[in-house]
Amino acid sequence: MFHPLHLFLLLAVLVPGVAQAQPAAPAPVPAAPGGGSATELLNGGEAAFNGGEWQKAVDLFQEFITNYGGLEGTAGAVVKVKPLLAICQVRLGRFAEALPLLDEALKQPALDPKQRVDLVFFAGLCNLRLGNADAARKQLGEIFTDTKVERGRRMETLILGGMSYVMEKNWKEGINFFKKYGEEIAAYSPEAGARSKILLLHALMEEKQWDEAMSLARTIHSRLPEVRQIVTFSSQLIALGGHFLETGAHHQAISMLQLVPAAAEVAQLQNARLAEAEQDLKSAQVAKNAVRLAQTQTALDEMRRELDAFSKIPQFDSASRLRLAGAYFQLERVREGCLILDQMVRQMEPDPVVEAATASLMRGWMSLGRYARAVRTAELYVERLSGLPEKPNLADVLFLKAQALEGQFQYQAAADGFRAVATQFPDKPVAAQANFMASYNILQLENYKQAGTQLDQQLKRLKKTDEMWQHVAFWRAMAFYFDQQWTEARKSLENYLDATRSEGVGLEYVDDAAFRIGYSYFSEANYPEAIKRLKAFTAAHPESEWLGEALLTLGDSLAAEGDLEEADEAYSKIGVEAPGFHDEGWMKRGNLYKLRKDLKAMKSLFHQFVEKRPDSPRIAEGLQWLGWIEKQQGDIAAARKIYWDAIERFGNDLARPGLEDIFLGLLGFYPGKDKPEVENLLADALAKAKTENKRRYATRLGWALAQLHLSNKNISPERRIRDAREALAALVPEIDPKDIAPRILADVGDALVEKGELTKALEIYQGLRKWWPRAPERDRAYAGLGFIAARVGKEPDALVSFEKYEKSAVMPKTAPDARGISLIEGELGGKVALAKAGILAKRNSEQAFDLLLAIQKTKSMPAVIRAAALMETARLHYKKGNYREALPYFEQVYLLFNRFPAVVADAYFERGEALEKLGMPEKAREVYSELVSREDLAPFERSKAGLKRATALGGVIKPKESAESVIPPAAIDQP
Amino acid sequence: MNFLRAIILVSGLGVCFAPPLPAAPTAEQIQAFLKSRPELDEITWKDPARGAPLKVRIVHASGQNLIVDKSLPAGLATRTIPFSELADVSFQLSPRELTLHQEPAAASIPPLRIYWETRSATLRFAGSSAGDTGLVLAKSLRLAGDPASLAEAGKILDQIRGQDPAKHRVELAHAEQITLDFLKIRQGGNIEEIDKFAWEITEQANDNDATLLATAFLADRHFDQLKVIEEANPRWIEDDEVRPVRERLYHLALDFALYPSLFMGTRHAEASAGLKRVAEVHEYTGAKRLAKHALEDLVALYPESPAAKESAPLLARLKQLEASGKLAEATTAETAGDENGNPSEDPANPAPPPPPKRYNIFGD
Repeated sequence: MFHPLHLFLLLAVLVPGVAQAQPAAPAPVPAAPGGGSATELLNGGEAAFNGGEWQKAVDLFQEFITNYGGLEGTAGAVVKVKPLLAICQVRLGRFAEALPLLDEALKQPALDPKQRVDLVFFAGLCNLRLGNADAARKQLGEIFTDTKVERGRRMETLILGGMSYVMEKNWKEGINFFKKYGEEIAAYSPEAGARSKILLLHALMEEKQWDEAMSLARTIHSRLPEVRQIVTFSSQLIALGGHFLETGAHHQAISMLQLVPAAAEVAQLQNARLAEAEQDLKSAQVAKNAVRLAQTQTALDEMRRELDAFSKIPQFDSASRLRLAGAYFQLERVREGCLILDQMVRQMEPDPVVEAATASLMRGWMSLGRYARAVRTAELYVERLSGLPEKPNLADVLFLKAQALEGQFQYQAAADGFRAVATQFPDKPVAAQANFMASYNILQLENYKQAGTQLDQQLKRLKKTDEMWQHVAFWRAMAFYFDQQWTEARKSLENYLDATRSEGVGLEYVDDAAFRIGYSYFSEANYPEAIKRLKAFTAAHPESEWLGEALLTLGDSLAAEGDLEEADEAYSKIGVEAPGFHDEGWMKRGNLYKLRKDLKAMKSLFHQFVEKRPDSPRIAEGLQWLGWIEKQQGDIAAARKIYWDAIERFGNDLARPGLEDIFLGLLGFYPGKDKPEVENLLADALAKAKTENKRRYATRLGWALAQLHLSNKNISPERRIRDAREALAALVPEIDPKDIAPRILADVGDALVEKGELTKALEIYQGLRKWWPRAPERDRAYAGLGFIAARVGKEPDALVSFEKYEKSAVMPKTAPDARGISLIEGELGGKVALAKAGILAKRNSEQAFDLLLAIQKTKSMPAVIRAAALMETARLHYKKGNYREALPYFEQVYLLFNRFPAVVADAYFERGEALEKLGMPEKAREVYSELVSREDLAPFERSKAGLKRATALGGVIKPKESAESVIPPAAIDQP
Repeated sequence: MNFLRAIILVSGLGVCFAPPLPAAPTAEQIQAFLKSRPELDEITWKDPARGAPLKVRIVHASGQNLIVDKSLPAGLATRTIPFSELADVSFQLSPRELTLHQEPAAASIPPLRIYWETRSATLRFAGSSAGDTGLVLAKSLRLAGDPASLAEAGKILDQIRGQDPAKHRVELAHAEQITLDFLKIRQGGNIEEIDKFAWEITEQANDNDATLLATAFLADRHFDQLKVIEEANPRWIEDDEVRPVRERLYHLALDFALYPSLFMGTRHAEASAGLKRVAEVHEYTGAKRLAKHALEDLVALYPESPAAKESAPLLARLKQLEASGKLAEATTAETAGDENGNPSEDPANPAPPPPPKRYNIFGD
């Protein structure tokens, strides 16, 4: 390998040689006085050359040539110095100065082969840099083809040869060259191989050979550790990705953009390569390998310049990721695009690209219905990007955020958000929309007056030609409408309709407005006007979504005016596309015939209804009317047959509204003494349904039987309940919750709980919850699950279920009392509250007492519940040893709630026990005696127990025949 | 970018003339190779007076010494040089060793172990690439997966973190340690603990093996939970309490499954598996059009992957359905709605994972 020291050795020989040849000759005299001696200049130049001080070496060599060139005895030295000078110039990038020197040196005869190789190499390099590609290639090729040259140098010339094509933009030849020699270069040096591949990639892209470029990019990426031009390569990847994106080859774009490292990783990789090169540099310095030193230094300088330029590209990451997201969006992969943009917004440094991407991201989240993500994105935008000098998308982002809040039903927050947009950006087009949406959301909160006021204010600012005017005007009218200010509503609606006719205002709400005007007259009982308007509406808007309701209202108005024929006609026109109104129309027509006492027409109508609308939820109502007609006509058997036919026809259908009502309706046609008959018929039908495996039918029949038991006044209430319970519990084997009505499931579940069959009850309630999540009976399932959990000791689960009950209860909630306690009204609400109190009693008796007190004081709570609350309060005091505090509660029960003898008996007895605990045996004996003497309480075990205690305490005290000892009659019903 | 300026240089790397090696070297073969490697390693003396850096063959580094071979005119000389005399040490990696570095695998453990054992003592030298060898060995041990291998990997990483002066290698060792920790927790089987750690990993938002493992786990977990909740609540779409929980599981299952292909797309195995999982979720929820999209992406981006090949029949079937106009969508597909639509938490449901840091793309 060439070593410039060879030349120095020659120099060292030459100079003394000059002196030796003429030992007595004086040293050469410089042409210009004042410079160094020849020896000094040569030695100094040599030292500078060795130390890589190129400029200094140039200066010294130049000075030698200038001052001593042409002098006697220096010709040889000058010939040797000039190549060194040329090398220094090459090192300093002065190729134009270096080339003549090299050419001159190459003309020297008898040049040492190794020297010649080096000189040819440098000459080739100079020609390359000066754009003389052909000359460069010739010189470099000369070295490459000389197999005696050291391999490393040959490979260097190969790479430079290929580069010459790239420099002259001869892409085709460059491609051919690197394809031919690429593997050979890579075998010599992986790093050099990577570099040549990058050159080839560049050429392929210039030649628009995109597929091959893509394949090569992947190959380069697979060997990334060998690549030193990370920045260059990353830029090539982005360019490739961008090209495929533009040409619609989205998957190819993605596959290229996936390869682009993040800016931090690019910097890290490039810095790692820098570190490697710096190590190489140190080794070269220590080894005094000037060529290697120079090469490595150049490489380092280039990498540093690239890294510096890269650091000044602030949007590298965001540009790359945005393209990647764009590719996914073009492929309609909205989620994927959003996730990429989301990471940009969250993690990348704020810049204009990230800012623009945020608005796109929000739209993407909204299209996926991910409103919470959209809101969060908006918050991140404000948090991270508020420092940017320009925020062109801020208004849109805030607007979308408000929309996202609306999507989450947070209407107040949405209204506030929209209002903020309108306030902050009053001059932007979005302001009018935002103002409107703010009011619209207030409307959603049913705050009609406030919404109306805001819409009024906005209307004043709008012209009818403004796009938003129609929306603001219509909904302002609707604010009046919802608030039942009919006159004002009509005025505003007419205003809107006039504008659509004469001023070209948008027609979005014309049918709605026309219908509302008609309906408002109906609401005011102004039927003639309602008729007029609704007739006009049905004629003008035969395709309107409001047609069904309009026809129904028209029919009602006509009927109210006594025009029954026309009313009938209106009802009959309601299409089945509005099934609720359509079925209501049938019922209304039946009612009209009833008014006209036209039983024949009524019968025909309802027969048609049953035939044409067998799936209607109002099927039972239709059958009810048919049965009523038969009953009116004195044919109870026919009435019953209608029901039995329907039951047999529909009895095994899948669950749908109305079916169970048919069974209940049947029972109504078997009054009093006919109850046993229907019971037998139901039982027979049940047995048959079971044998025919008609499980749903069997379940409904069994349930109907249970309802029959409950209504049987021939037996005691306790017996009724027990019989019904048994009938319901017996249905379990037939039940598949997904096919059975929730009301039946709830009844069966309750019956099972009463019987203590908790496991089966659990399955039934869970089935109800699972298959009927929107059923009103869902609250009964939660309550039942809570009761079961409480009974098996799973109190946290019980409380959770009770909380769900309270959230889903159909019964209203009481206003909070002084302690903030609010109860669900009704018996079930009371039972739940009692159960909760029972659980709380074990954890926090104060809370339990508060809850029990709330139950006692809630007048709307059933008496049985209030009685139970008193009893539980008393018992809780008793359990805590507060016997004296328990006494009045026990007493209140038996004084106020004689309707519930079982509880009364308990109250007496337990009060007696409390008195005994207080060491008041005489008082206790009195209480026990009173219990014993009540005949209505005799059947209860407590009465027997009371007798025992009274006897033990000295005997039963007979009641006095006085007013004070008169036992309140059991019939007294105390509030 | 001025490509020309970027490439007018010649590498300082020398040529490696390693003797040809068999396809899968055994430890014994590596041991033998170590004694016959070219003398292209380099040692630098602390005392400059001792001369330039020397090209040698480093045979072994142990304790405080380096054993080197050097061919001299008189023949091969073996010397033991104390570390105290050296300023730096660097190894010339052979092509085979480079390949081992690029493709960590359990099968590579024996040869890597030999390299590591002969070089780990030089960790503290700035020029030593022993740390790289250690990292690859640790990763290969991790891929082996058995407890002993994981323990060995942990020790290696500890050593690198403690001794290697290269900051980037220490960071890589730290990242690998997290991956190791996750595997150990997974082997422990406590699902809640695994879940919690997986979420912690996603919070760090690093593109590394640990994140891939964590996101794969979380994708599967959320998909499993999605199936459970839908099975238990077949009419979830009507259920205001269940629906937000279901939506959250659905969205997270997809987000996690997509993570590798979107953010670490060059990790073909994980990315293709993730896209296959995405298609499975969509298929399960009845979103056949979206399932087709996912499979199209899988086949286009990772055509050679096992996942793509396994999915080819399903994709063909979906395309047939589309062609015949029968590619119906579930009503609950992409427009199903917000996982947080119901603002009130359902106290009966298990508490969600700890809230991730604000920049976690999976958390709100």
